[in-house]
Amino acid sequence: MGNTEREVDFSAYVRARQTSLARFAYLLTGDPHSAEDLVQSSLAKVYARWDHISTVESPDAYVRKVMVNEHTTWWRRAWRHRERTDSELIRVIDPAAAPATAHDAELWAHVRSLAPRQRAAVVLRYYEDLTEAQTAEILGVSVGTVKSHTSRAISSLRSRMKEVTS
Amino acid sequence: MTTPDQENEFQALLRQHADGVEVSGDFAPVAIARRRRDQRTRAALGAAAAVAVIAVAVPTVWSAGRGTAPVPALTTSTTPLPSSSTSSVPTEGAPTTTGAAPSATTATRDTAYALDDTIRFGDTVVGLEKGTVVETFAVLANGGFLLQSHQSTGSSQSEMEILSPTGRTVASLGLSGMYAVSPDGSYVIAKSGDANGDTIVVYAADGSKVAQRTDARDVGAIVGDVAYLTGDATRGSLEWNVATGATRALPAHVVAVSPDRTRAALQWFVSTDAMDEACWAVVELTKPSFPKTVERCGPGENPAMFMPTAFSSRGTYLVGSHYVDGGFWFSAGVVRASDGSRVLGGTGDRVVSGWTWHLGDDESTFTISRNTSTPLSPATGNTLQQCTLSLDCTDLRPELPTLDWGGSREPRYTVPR
Repeated sequence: MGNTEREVDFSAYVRARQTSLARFAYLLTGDPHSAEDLVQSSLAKVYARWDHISTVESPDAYVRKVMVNEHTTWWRRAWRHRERTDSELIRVIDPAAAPATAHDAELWAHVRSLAPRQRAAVVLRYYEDLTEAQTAEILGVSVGTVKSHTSRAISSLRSRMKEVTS
Repeated sequence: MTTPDQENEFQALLRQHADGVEVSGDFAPVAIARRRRDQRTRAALGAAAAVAVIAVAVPTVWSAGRGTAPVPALTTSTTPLPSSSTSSVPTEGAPTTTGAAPSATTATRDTAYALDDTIRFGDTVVGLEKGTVVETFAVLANGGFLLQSHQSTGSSQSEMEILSPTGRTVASLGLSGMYAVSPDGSYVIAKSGDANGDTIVVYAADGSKVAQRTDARDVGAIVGDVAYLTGDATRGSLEWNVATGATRALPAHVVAVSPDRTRAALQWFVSTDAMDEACWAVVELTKPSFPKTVERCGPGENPAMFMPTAFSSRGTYLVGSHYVDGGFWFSAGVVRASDGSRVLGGTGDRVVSGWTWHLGDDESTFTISRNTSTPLSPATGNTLQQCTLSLDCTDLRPELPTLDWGGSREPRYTVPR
């Protein structure tokens, strides 16, 4: 694939999928700046391998895998530089639905406090609606590990919510 | 055990928050530009060495909405600066006069630097086409330059050229490619990223072609008239004597070769969950089995992700970078080649943040286009400094604000390799 062709092909993919990727990144990171940084850095890596990725059946799965790994990498490093870009590509608006209850706000805060692999498992399972096997593939772990990640995450959330409620 | 109700509640919550996320721009050019910066940052570290250097640029759209016309050949001019101006604060777009007599002085790596769209050495300013963004450059043996640049508007593709000492283009090496310069500046090896994708050409400093071969490997290094091509584990690397045409198979991932050609540095990534754990090693080229004398791999042995790109002038050190995650600038790094001990740089408060740099021939001082911002990000300040390896630094030029290209910060000064 030539340089121009690669750029065109990659750009078309990104434009078609960027909202979905941004939403996924937001759920992984919990804030728009980090989400934007995550999408940018992940897509930069994806672009480097686009000749290969564009030929696979499901580029989305590969891209999500890169995003999950990139986000985990951030957490694993003791020191992390975050470039706060001036261009705001991601905006978070209040949901059009009914105002969030205190319960929802607490639940969301707890989601954000989950360890990155747990949160990734939960987001892949319950937002992306992937099967346990698909989630395991993206996380690079066994199905059993996905089960335990999601179970622990929800158990943790449930127990914390009970604490809050009581 | 989770219940369907809990899962449904959870799903609804995630969807509610996700639905509030909107994208108000185009991530594609931003991601491409970021990839390019990452490549350039890593490649620019070759500038740190007194020996063979390497530069990489990938095709990109510099920012959304800009055109895609190819970069025109640079028009250059040279003019001596009034002596009184040499200590003044440099400004963007310094006036130049086309056709002015070349300066009597010749650029050297120690005296030359680029500021915006000019190359300066001594009292001389080589004016490049207005709007040229100098990505990397090297001073050649004849006082000319190897220049890798693009336009701040229009095409985003990097162009590689060999310029005469007066700034005239004497050879166009192609777009979006890689190059390396021999330690003495006599030879340039380049591989274009355009249609002639597998053609590797060696040039003399005057721009004349010395040798050419078709090879899928990448440009690694050139020391004297021996070139080194970087290959992956499948192909392996290759030593190529451009005078005789003789070749020798080498281990994969060769990125640098010592000035005496007895050792090579390898650098590769291991595919892990984190995806980019960096490894490096030094191998002896004098023995048929190429034994490793040092190897550092993974978070335990290479926690700051040092990535070598060159040997220092006497081969004592490996110079390169410590990876800065997501950064548009690098953390300069030096390790001792004999045992891998860290001499300069790292993470946290050991970051030596900047854009381009080189370790001097004395192996004890370096010149750097430094990020002077506090905190380091966003990188708003840039100056040219000379520092010892123990980080005693002196400003060589005044601090200037960085340029802001669509949210990313670009340096004003560029240090030659």
